[in-house]
Amino acid sequence: MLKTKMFIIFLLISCTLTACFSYNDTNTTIFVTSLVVDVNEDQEIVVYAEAYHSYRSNLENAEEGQRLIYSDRGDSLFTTLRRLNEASRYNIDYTQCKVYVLTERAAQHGLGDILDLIKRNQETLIRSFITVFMGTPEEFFATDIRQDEFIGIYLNELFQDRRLSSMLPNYRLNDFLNDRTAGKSISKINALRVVNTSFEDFIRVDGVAILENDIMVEFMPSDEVMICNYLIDRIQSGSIEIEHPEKEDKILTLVIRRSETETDLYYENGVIHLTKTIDNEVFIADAQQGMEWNSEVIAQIENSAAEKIKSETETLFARYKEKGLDLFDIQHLVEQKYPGSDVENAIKITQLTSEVSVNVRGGGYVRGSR
Amino acid sequence: MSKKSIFEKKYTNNLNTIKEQLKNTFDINYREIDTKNGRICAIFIDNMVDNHFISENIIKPLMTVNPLPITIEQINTEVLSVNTVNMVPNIDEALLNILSGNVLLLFSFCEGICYCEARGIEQRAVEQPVSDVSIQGPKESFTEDLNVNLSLVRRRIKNPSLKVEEFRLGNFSKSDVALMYIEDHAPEELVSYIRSKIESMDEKEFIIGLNNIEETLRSRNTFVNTIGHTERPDTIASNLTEGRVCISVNGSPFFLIAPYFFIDHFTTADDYYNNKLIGSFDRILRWLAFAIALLLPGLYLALTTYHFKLVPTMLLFRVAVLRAGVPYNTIVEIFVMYFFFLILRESGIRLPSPIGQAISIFGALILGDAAIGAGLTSEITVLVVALSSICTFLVPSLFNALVAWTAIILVFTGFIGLPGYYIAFTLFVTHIAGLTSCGYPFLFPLGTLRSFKFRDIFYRQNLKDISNTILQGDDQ
Repeated sequence: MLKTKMFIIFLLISCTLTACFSYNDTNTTIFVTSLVVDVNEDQEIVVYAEAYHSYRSNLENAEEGQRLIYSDRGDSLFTTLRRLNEASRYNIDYTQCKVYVLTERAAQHGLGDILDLIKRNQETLIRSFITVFMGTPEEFFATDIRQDEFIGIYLNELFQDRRLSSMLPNYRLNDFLNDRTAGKSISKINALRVVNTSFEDFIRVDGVAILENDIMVEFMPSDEVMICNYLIDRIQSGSIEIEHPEKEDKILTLVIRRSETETDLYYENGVIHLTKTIDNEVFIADAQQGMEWNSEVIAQIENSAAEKIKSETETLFARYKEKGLDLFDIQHLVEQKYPGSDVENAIKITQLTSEVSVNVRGGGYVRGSR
Repeated sequence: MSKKSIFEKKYTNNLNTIKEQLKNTFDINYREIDTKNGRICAIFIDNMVDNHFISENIIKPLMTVNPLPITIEQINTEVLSVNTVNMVPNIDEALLNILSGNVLLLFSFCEGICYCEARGIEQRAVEQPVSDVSIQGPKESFTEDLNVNLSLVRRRIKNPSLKVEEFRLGNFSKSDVALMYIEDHAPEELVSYIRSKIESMDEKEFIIGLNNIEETLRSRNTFVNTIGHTERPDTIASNLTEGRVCISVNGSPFFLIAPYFFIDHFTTADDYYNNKLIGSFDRILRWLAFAIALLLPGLYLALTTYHFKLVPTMLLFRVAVLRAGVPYNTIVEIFVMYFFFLILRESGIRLPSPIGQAISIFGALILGDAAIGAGLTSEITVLVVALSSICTFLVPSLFNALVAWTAIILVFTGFIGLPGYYIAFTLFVTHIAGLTSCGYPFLFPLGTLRSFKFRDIFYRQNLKDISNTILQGDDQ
């Protein structure tokens, strides 16, 4: 009798868990791989969904999969997504959506109108990447990338490439949702751009879109992203180019093997003193025209690299200090360390000191690092 | 009336009673011998006795010894050259001896009836085990003769503590049942429990096979076997030394093992004949196979019908395109394939082995491929069902339970996805946790907080460390 009661209780409890689930077979579902959100001149939300559809071709007498692109517009994201189903014979499923792409126009319009649905819907996953495309949706979908039939899958793998980690913030939606609630609500999102070469068209990552309070306010090019990543301790690999120690006009390239940034901050007399201690281990990857190896040259290389990093970090910091954009999460750090402080915009009153050390660990190229 | 007349009358009455009881039975032989003392009748069933033995050791001495003694005791001790000769107390016992393959002797000149053992029943030789195959272990298996079976066990345990109790069950069939245990190893309460269960079956008319006894001992309303059986004498010997009780019925080539626990389903004889590491690996493989057989179809169903987000994208797209031509739901597809598999298995078992193998190959290769071609199923479902089905063969004693519980898990999953899957799995665990085997928890030693001397659960222990009294705790 107890077993029967327990069984009924289990069944009833489970029924309460299933409101968001429903039975669907894989072959009667259309899977979205990337969702592009744009805003038109009438301030309507325009949605483009790249989707995978499996079907049995009676002409070919074979099972096939194909790429579909749905598009519709509406006043809200929910209505628009619902309307996509009007042209779809099966349920459109968003669980495989790898990337949420905002057009530059949509990012400048702001994410406030679309974010609630994406973050609370059962199907849209917060582990997917979020990115800004610097162009139009038509341009985005017209690009024939031959590395994968689906742009969503291509971008998903591109953003997971460790070698790009120093050049990109590689934001997943959950990172974005965290950052937008901390400090000055500044977020950095990968930016994409179409690049046309004589042979191929590519969609490539190109810098970062900076959002303040969910609205895109600035674009940061790729070379600055790495400097920024130094200051927020997100460097896993990467390279530094410095002047050749022996030959003028030539370049020497160092590969970063390990990099750690320690942050020290104190608030005194209305000034925030921020010290970033950046410790690098590098290999000499490429010396144009070769070089003489001796301890003096090595020391010179280490000094040059450290100087370069110090100079670039302090310059970048100064620029964004002037703009009042707290890319480095200083406001958050101050709130953590001085909870009662009434600092309104911490970066405006911050003095940065970069203490950089570079240690050359060898002359070989480390496989897998760039 | 003289004594001789009385004996002659008794002789005639007994003979007539036996003939009346055994009328319309063509294979009964009444061999009458005239001696100087009077008439003797040897009654036996032709095809159950050794005719040459009877002629040489019973009939010939009775005809040639001169003078023939006048008491039955003297005849037994001085005339008959037979190993087993005993008196029969009444006519019912006399009939039972005839039907058991003994030779009954009626005398017209002295008091009493006796029987001689002269069995010559054609029987199967001791052959290799069919269901409990071992690569490095002994190649002997039990036969249908209880005495031969007992001898195979006794050969392995030469100890006076090995006890064999005999029961004759079934009012009509009078089947011989043997209860084996090792005194001081098997708990007394366990032996008493099983003994009482066997004795309670005495009122039944027929005890034909081992299953009559197994059904009395096992837990009811379950697909899981809570009583073990084996056809290997070495396995029985090993279980006896662990303190368990074994039962067999004359006519069955199997012995029952009680109590039998869940973990016992995962052990084989070869675990102990092989290298310890290989034995342990094989056992872990069996646990994994059990998990795959039970859980894989349900998990596949849940992931491909409710929880797409848990499936890697490439695999999901592949599954989708493979299923594109299948007109049925995934759950129907799985059940159809299971149905095919069960048909194949049944046909493979019932047919003679050469044809059975051919059916299996035909089924696996042709039927699976044809089902895909016909659009009844997809490759991925065939793979899942085939893998699950093959895994059931690694724990054959749990086959029925696995098929039933896999189906239950599938039904629950089909309704509500992973929550249903978890509920069904929880039900399975609670079900087996609630079972008992002769009073012991079926999940023993997992299902108890007491410490037991069971050293040999998920991997094989060193043989020197394996306990001989698993049913008695460390604390005893």
